[in-house]
Amino acid sequence: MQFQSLAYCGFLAAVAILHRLLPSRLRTPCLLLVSYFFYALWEPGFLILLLAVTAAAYFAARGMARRPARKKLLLILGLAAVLGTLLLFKYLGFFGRSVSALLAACGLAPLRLPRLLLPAGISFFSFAVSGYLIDVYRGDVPAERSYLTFSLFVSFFPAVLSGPIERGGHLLPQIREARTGGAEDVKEGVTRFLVGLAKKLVIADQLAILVNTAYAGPEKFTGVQLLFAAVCYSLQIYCDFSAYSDMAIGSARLFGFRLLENFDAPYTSRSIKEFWRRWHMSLSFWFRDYLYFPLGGSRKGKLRTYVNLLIVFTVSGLWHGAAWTFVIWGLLNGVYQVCGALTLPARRSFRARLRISEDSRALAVWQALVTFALLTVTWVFFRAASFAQAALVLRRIFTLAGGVFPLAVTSLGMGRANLLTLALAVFALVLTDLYGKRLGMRERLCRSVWPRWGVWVLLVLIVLIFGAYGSGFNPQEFVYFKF
Amino acid sequence: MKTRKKEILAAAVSVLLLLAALALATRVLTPKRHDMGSTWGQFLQEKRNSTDLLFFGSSLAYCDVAPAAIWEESGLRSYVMAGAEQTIPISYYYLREALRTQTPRAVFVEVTGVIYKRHTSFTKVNIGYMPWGENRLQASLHETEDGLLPGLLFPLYFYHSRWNELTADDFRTGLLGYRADDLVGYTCLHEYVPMEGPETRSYEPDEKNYNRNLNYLTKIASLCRERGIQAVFYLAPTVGQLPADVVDDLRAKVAGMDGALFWDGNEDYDDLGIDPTRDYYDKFHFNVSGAEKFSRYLADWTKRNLSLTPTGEDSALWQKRADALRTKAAEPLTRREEGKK
Repeated sequence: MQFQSLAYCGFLAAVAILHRLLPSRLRTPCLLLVSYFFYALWEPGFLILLLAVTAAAYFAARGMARRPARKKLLLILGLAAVLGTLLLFKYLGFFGRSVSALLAACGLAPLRLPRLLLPAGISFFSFAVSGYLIDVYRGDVPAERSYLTFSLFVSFFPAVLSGPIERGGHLLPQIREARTGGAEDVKEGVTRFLVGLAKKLVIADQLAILVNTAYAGPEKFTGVQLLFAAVCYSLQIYCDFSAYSDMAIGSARLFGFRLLENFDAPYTSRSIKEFWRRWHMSLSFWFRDYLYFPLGGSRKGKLRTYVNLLIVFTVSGLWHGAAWTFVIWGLLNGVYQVCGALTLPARRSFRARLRISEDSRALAVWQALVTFALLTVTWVFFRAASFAQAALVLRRIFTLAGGVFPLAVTSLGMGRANLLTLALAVFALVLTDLYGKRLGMRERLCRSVWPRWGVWVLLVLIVLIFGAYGSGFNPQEFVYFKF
Repeated sequence: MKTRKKEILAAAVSVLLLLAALALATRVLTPKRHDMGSTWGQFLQEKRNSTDLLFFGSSLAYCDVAPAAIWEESGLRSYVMAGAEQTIPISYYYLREALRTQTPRAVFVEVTGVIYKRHTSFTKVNIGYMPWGENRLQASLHETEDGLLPGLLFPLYFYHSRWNELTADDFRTGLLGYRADDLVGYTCLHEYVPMEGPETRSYEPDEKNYNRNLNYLTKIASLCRERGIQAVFYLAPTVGQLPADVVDDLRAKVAGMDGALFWDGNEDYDDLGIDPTRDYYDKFHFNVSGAEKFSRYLADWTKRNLSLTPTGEDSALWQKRADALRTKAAEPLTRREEGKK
């Protein structure tokens, strides 16, 4: 049941009403059952895995609370169970393929490993659980006593498939309160959900048409067309994943829960470093707190800081997908950050010589554009089916293969009128990103009555007329769902 | 309390506005249908209870029957409310729907549809243009394949992406409604292909579906009998004909259906005055020349077999329709390339 489906909208509304009608003691069991049902719809067999991970983490954490002397051992055992499951299901195939390639190069027989299906949401819930175990070990979060509460923390249906990756200290207290959505929560939740739905169906899935066409046969398109497709993918992945996050946060809000924010206008960032503080924040902060800081962060000298950055981003790439393209994507982001840190003094002094103020708006726009361009190169690796395809796309872009004119962007599967509408939608999104938070648009909207209902009606109409759904459209899964 | 009331009012107004906007968007975005069957928008412009005969069936009805010619020949007012490759069950729902606004004295159903597959590529159009109501819902629920239902219940599912190809007609017809059809449900074809002798059309026999279709023919006959309407199940004269055993079986089955009549137009072929070198659009359909001849013969057959007398009403309107047909018929026929559909 995809978030953007009519079935999910009905399911969500029904569960929200039921949850509201129930006495507080039944709310958590109800949400837990519903969450398990939701998860089982994807692949019933993997529900057992979710239950096993939940049980392992719960008892490891309780063990740490009861036997402080064996805390470390229990943490290791708990992490081994949780992350071991992730490694087994997500990386066994990748490991097998990589080793087999090496063996084949040496003229040896390839490894024979079983093919395992990737359980839905495993990267997300295993990270949430691992973070919780480390928090309990560090004493930042008390070990949850209630098995029901902890189970819901792991499997809460709006977040179980693609995050945001929750923290025990953030979500567990909310579950303990057995909250129910108040009027403000419902207003915020519905607004957030509809904004996400519009982003997904009106922008992301329409951009997907262009991107999929280009990546289905990049050799058939000119460098300019591929550049256009690469820029479209940068926008698509943002709209797609932030749409998912909006819909997850909006869904949770209907029950009174506030999930962690995942995006903060990331493409307005002036550097890659800033970008990673605004993009997939729940994951970025997870890596910061549970990998970067334990590695020493920036406290052990510059060289160690750079090495730590490269390690964190390589692991982040691998977290996204078990393929070398993701590793390169992550590594490239790490290299950008290292280069950014190395060249920062020179760039600052250059600007000072030219008397360009660091607060200048023009500089901010320029830096945002450069950051976007650098990221667009990395997203090519993220989107490409293989390293060879990514290399082909980048080669054709940088050599302007096929010449510049005619631009012929309409040959990517979308007519002028659609492209224009898409451009308008992206422009509206950029404006919202730039000014929405500053002007407190969401808060103002929730406080108002008529404008809010007007926006809701408008969003529904926009989705129903301009959205990529129904006949002639292939429903697109959320990009991050496969992670 | 005041805020709560305001919220409820805003919700009610918003829902109404949303529904109105969606209804309007559906009307504008749905492709407009002026011919080739399923022309419900035009049919509903007819004055209530103003037809003597109603024709149902597939393209063999709407390409072969010109009501204006029937009127000229007999004074009987008729309408063709057929649909492309229309199955018998959908014809049944068409009849039920048409009887909500018309009280014909005879209903003609072209029954080649008994050999059609249960679901055809035109099911979406045949049901999708029906007026909203019980008949459309029943047809949507019982006569569609997986995947069609969402769009039949919510047409924007099929047509929302047409916003970038809208024409002036989409807005005019969508906002102001359809105009009455001067050809009264008939679709005029101007091409011809010379034909030789008759041949047996090929099809994949499906006994279960055939019996289901017969069951729906029985329902049509019963409905007609209940309403005091003469049901006529007929086969249009074609070059590609149903196998003789199917025709014989149909004849036998119809004989037991609540007073319904059966007529095989192919048996009267020699009396139709058809010129096989000029009057066929293809093996199954007449062009305007053939349709006019067949319609005049049909009018004559009706007079002889059903003893229906014209009411003489709306003669100015029908004269205008006859003139419109004549104007169409006066356009030259062109030879159709072989193989072109």
